Amino acid sequence: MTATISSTPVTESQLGLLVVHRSVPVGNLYNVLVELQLDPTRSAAEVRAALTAVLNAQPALRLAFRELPEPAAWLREPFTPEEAPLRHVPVDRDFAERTRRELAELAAAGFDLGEAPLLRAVHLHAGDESVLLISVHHTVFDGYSLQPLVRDLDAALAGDLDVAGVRPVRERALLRELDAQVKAGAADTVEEQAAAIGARLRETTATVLYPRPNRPATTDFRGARRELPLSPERSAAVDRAITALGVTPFTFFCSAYSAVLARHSGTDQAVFGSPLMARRTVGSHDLCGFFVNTLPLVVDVDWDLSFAEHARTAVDREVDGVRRAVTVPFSRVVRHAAPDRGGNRNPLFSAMLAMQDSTGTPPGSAVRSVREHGTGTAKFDLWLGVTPTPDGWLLELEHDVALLPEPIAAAVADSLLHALDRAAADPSTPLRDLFVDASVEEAHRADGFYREPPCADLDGWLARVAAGRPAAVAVEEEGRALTYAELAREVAAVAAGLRGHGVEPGQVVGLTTTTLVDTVVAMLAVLRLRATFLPLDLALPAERLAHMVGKADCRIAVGGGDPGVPVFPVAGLRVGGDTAHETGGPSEEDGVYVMFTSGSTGNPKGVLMHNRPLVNLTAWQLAALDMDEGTRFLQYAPLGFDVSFQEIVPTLAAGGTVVSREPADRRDVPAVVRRVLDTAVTHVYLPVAALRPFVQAAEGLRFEHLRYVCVSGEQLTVNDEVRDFFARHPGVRLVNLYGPTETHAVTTHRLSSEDSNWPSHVPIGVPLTGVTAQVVDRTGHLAPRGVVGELLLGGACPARGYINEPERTAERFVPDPRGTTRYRTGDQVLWDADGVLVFLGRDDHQVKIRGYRVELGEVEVVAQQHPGVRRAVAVARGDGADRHLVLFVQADAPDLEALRRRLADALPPYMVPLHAFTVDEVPLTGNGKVDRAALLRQADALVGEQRADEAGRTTTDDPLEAGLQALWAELLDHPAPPLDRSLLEIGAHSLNALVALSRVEQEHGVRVPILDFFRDPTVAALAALVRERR
Amino acid sequence: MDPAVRTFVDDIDATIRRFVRVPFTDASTLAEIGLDSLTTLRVVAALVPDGDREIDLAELADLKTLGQFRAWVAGQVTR
Repeated sequence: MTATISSTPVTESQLGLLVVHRSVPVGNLYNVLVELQLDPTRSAAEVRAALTAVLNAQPALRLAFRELPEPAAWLREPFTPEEAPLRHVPVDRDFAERTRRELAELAAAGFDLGEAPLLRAVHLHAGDESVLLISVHHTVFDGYSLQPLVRDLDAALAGDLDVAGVRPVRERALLRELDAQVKAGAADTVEEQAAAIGARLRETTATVLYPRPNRPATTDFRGARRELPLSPERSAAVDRAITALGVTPFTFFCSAYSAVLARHSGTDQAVFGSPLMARRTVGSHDLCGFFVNTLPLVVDVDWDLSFAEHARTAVDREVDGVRRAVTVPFSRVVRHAAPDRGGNRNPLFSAMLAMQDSTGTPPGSAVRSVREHGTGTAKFDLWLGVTPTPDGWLLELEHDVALLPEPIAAAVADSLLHALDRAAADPSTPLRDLFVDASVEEAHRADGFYREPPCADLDGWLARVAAGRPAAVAVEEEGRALTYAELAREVAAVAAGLRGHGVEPGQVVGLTTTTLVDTVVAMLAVLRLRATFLPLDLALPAERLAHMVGKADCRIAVGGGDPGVPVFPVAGLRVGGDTAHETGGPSEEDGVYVMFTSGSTGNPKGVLMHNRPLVNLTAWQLAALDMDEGTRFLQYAPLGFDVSFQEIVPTLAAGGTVVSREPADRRDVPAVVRRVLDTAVTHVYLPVAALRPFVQAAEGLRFEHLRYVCVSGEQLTVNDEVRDFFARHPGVRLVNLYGPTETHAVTTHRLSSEDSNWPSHVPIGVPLTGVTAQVVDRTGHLAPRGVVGELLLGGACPARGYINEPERTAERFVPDPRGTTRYRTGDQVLWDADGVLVFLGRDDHQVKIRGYRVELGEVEVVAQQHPGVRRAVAVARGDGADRHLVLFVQADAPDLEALRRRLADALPPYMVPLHAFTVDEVPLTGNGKVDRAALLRQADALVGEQRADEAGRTTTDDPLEAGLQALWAELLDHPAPPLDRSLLEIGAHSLNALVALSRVEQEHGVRVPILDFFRDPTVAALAALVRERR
Repeated sequence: MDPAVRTFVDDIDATIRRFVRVPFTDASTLAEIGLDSLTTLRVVAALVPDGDREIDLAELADLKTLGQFRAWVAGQVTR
């Protein structure tokens, strides 16, 4: 038998799939897996004959593809029954289990697209059961092919399929359809539409579900699918709402899905793809084949709009738009929107919604039921399939298990079902109320560390401990030690002296003391009077000090210098007598300290912290940091930082010893390290920025006494140096603490050598006992795991407010419908898949590159992990599509080329800086922050110089490079493609790269994976790849 | 009405009825009677005898009511 036609054109959509098939190392990613229940009275031979007939009647099922000399498809000759790719499996028991096993096997087996048929089948047969499992490659089979397949199979089983008659008709119809597709795709309007969609996507933020630092840029495409069948009642409610709204099911489901995606990506917009049936000829409706164009929908989500308005406006408009653009092939949009195919993910969208064809079969059909299965893979981060079945709507959610771990996918499924139910029940529901609070229990889950305090105020607590350990050393400076008994006497005497100067409960007393002993005595004396201390750093500008003193209504200070109010040295305040009876009973509402923190409006604000949060913190810390009488805590932090409280007060509450850092200078980290060793310190609390210098200075040293290294202040990132230090010191734990001044420390994440997972971006962890951490997402609800929101802190931790600033206080300290007061941090966080809080930053270090949100810190961390790099700062430069990152590094013996490769290996392409430069110093602003504006000016100058240099370097003596350059010159119609600048900049994209790599393979006998090429798409890098593989 | 055209109209209605189970008039919107784009194509495929006939899918986006759809289908059939 001879085929009437032997080769067919390849559509752009098919070509797109060929590219993916070649670039993705998962051969089964595009398997379509179908389970058909058959009339069990049909024999194995009948089923074989029927399947053979279907293969011969459906030309697409006999297609195979080749890439060279140009991509094409050809048609295999008809099959004999023996050749049909079918295996019969007689089953005597456990039919369901056997079916599962065979499905899994079929799902896992990839296809060689060069060999027809791109289909395999297994027929399982028991007495009263008969199932035909089919795995078929997507390039020849779209969702709409299922009905023609089932119709033909049914007819063949009934003996009604006239193969000889339909074969030439169908082959002609296929050719005609493919021609029509190719012709339609070539129209000018299609190019215009693709350009318009591309331009729009470039301006749009990509929807990234479960956004987090170190989110994998590539995955192994392992997926899991969950079925969410809507009960007949729920389905009926959905149908009623669809009718009432006068929208299509597609619009209805897009409306709910877009809100879910926006919530779970932490944005007010959803970008997702949807496959649209693109069959053009009438005859194609009888054919299996791949006639689908997948197009992006960009849906704005206004949370205050009702579901009905959302569906009728934003969504309906978008659905209308994609229907008009149905002829536009996906790959064409890619070319216009994102020529750099980042990672191995879909370059345009990470989520998909597919309206599936109905799975009903007519009564009396030998095919009793039809069901599609997942293949254990995921092409998208999230895929939603919506199928009308005879039993109601079937929703299926497929997720990439690496990108969206199971708890995250479960949360998405919850949101989706809630949203659908609410929308169906009442379409006038505002979008934000389609959702509900995630578990309150989760927000109120704490780490459980707590040692019961003996009383509700710090002064009472410390006095009791001091009375029980009179001879033990409470505070230790070089050359001086103060026992608890001496401390108690000093505190009483100084308190009496302050009382004599008129200090009353509630009054604010400034501290300018310079030694640790004086500071501790003064602090505790102030607390004895139920007054509040205010650390005053005399190095601050006089104007700022004056503001602090005035705002806090501070009229007296202890120490020296000139803080602008009467100041008395500790020694001059000692007076005999007891003040306790004069101050009345202590209260947990009594203030403890005022600490000023920078305010975005220019003036610092003074946080008034009182006993209740600090007693809670102390009770937690004693248990969490194993503090006892043997504790020796280094006092490192300046008094004006609330960390100093954690070094001093809990240590005294534990009966331990506070050890002065001095004589080591705070900035001289090696001296601090020596001091830690010399004084047998057990607990150290460092700013994050000091951790790496600390472990570097500790190289080669052993710390016998050290038990805890605490850090806080900014996002903690760890590298191998830090990990090595803790690996060498298995008894030492690293504790990352988080907490704004307004609440003091509230969450912690603990790491030690026992933990196998030391993420470079360390989480801020879980709340400490008594603290509630609520993550409130964009919908105003408690966020489920994986959803970004603002962190609101409540329970025992919030301070009383900003001293003498009721308005600013009311703005940030807000009522909690579930408790008392919450402090709004303004920090963006999420609960990760394991229920641990991850800090994502504030908006000011967040930039957008080609629509992707980029945390500059993430780029910087990767750069800093490169050998020799001491510091890295990234800035975003340029506008629109030209916006890119520039990296500045401070490094010893910098190898920028190696750094660039490392960045390209570790980061998605949009995060890889286009330029990297070395600097001797990172410029800082007046207040010590990185001066990004100055770096941007430097970037402009340096990039200009680099361009001028490159202009003269487009020729090469290397014959391999010259050959590749000529190849690209031909493909791109470019006179002289640059050697080491990205070919993407001059028009290379995945399709012409496929051709280029095929030609390279022909010419040089080496197969260069397309992804390797895209990692560094330059002539020079391609030459290196070819050489490597020769 | 020309009997041939009348037959067409009857055919169109009969075919639509195979896919749509609720009562409809020319003023009914396609969405409210559940006629989605896939179904509209099936109606056309069932009515047009010439397999080579090409349909401009983008045109479907303009069809909002059954009346518009009926007129458009008639155009496809008699073209």
